[in-house]
Amino acid sequence: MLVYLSQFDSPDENYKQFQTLSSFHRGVLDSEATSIVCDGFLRTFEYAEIPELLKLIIKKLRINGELVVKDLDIDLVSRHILDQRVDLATINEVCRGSSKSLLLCEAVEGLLAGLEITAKQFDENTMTFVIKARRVQ
Amino acid sequence: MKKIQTSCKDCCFIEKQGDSQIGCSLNRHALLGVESLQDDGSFMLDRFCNTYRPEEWAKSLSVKKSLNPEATVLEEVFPRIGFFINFNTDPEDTGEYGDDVIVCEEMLAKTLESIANIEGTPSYVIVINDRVEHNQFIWEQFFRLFGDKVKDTKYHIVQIETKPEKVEQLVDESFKHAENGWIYTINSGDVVDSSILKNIHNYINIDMKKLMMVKPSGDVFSSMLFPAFLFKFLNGNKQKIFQDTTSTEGSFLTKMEEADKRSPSKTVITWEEFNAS
Repeated sequence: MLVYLSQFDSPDENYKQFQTLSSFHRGVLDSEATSIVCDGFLRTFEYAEIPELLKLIIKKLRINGELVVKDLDIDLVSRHILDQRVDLATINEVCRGSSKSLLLCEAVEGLLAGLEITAKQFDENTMTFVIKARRVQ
Repeated sequence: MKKIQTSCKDCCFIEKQGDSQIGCSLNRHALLGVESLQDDGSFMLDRFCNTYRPEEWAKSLSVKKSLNPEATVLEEVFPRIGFFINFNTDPEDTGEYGDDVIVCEEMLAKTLESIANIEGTPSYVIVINDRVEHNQFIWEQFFRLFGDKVKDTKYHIVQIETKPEKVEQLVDESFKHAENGWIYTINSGDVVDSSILKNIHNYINIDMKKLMMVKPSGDVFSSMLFPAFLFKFLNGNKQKIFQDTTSTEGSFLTKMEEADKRSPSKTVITWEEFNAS
C-alpha cells in the first residue's frame, strides 16, 4: 500500500491519500504500508506532538518500507528572508496551508529512530527539506 | 412546522463503500433515521445531528484525539449543567426538622455536597436565599466545595427579601445567572444523583432520545431538569408573545406540558421514565 499523507492533493494517483491522522489511523493497518509520503503534514501538528506522530506513522510502515518526509525548513525560509532573496508573495505561497509548528531537517531526522536515512535534500525554491528513510526494525 | 434534517455530506464520520455512504462510525444514521440518499451518495438524516463534523475539524485534532475522533466528539457534546437551589430557611415546614439555623444549613450543605460530588463538573451553582444571616455559611460552602483550587464551577447567591407568592418566580430571578446547557432546580435538603450528567449524556447523545424536560415530582424545585435555551425561548414563567402576535401564558412547566401534548413525540417525561431508560 502506498500512502500519501498531506493537506494537499497527491500528485500521484497510485498513492492513497489521507488528509487527516484519524482517517490514516483507521485506513492503514500496522506494517501495511510499503511507502508513506508525509508532504507538509508534520507541521499541521504541535511541535511537542511530532515525536508521537512519527512513531505512529512509522508503525504503519513495513520492514524495508520507505518513509518520505517533506516539509518547510524554517532555516531555509529565514535565510531567504534575511538575504532578501524572496518577496512576500513567494513566502506566502510556500507557507500556504495550515501550520502549527516550525521544523528543521535536523530536528526531524533526529526523531526517525529505527529508520535508516537513505537520502536528504533541500529544495531552495520551495524552501523545503526532504528526508528519505527505510524502516529497518 | 419545517423539520430540521442533517446532511452527512463531508462529515468525517461517514463510512463509505466506493462513493456511497453505508453508515456512520457513531451509528447516528441508525438512531436518527435516514430520510433520503443524496445525489452525492451521502445520507440525509431525519433529525439534527450534533456530532456532524467536517474534515477541517478532524485536521485540527491533536495526535491523541485523532486516534479516537468518536470519543473526542462525544466529549465535545457532553452536556453542561447548572443548579438552582431553593434554600429552605424555614425547615419547620418539613415536619422532620426543627426550626433551627444549623439544621437548615446542614440541609443546604447536604445538597451542595451532592452537587459537588457529581461525576463531571457542574458549570455553576446558584443558591436562592431570603435570609442574609446565612450568607457567610453559603460562601464558606462555596469556597470549600467549588473554590478555585477545587472545581471550575461558578457560584452565586440570589438574595431575595421575601419568598414570592409563586415559587416558580424564583427560577426567573435566578435565570439571569444561567449559562448554556441544562438547568436542574432543587430544594435544599434534596440530593442530586451523582451520575446525572452521564445519564443525560446517554439519553440524548448515545440513545439519541428527545428530551425537553424532566418534570418535578412536586413544586418546580423538586428536581426539574430543562435546557436553558428553552426557558429563554418561552420567556420563563412570564407571558410569551410569538412573532405572529399569539401569546401563551402560565408557568414554564404548564407551557411545556401543553407543548408536549401537541408534539408527536413525548419530550416531557418523569424521573421514573428518565431513570428507566
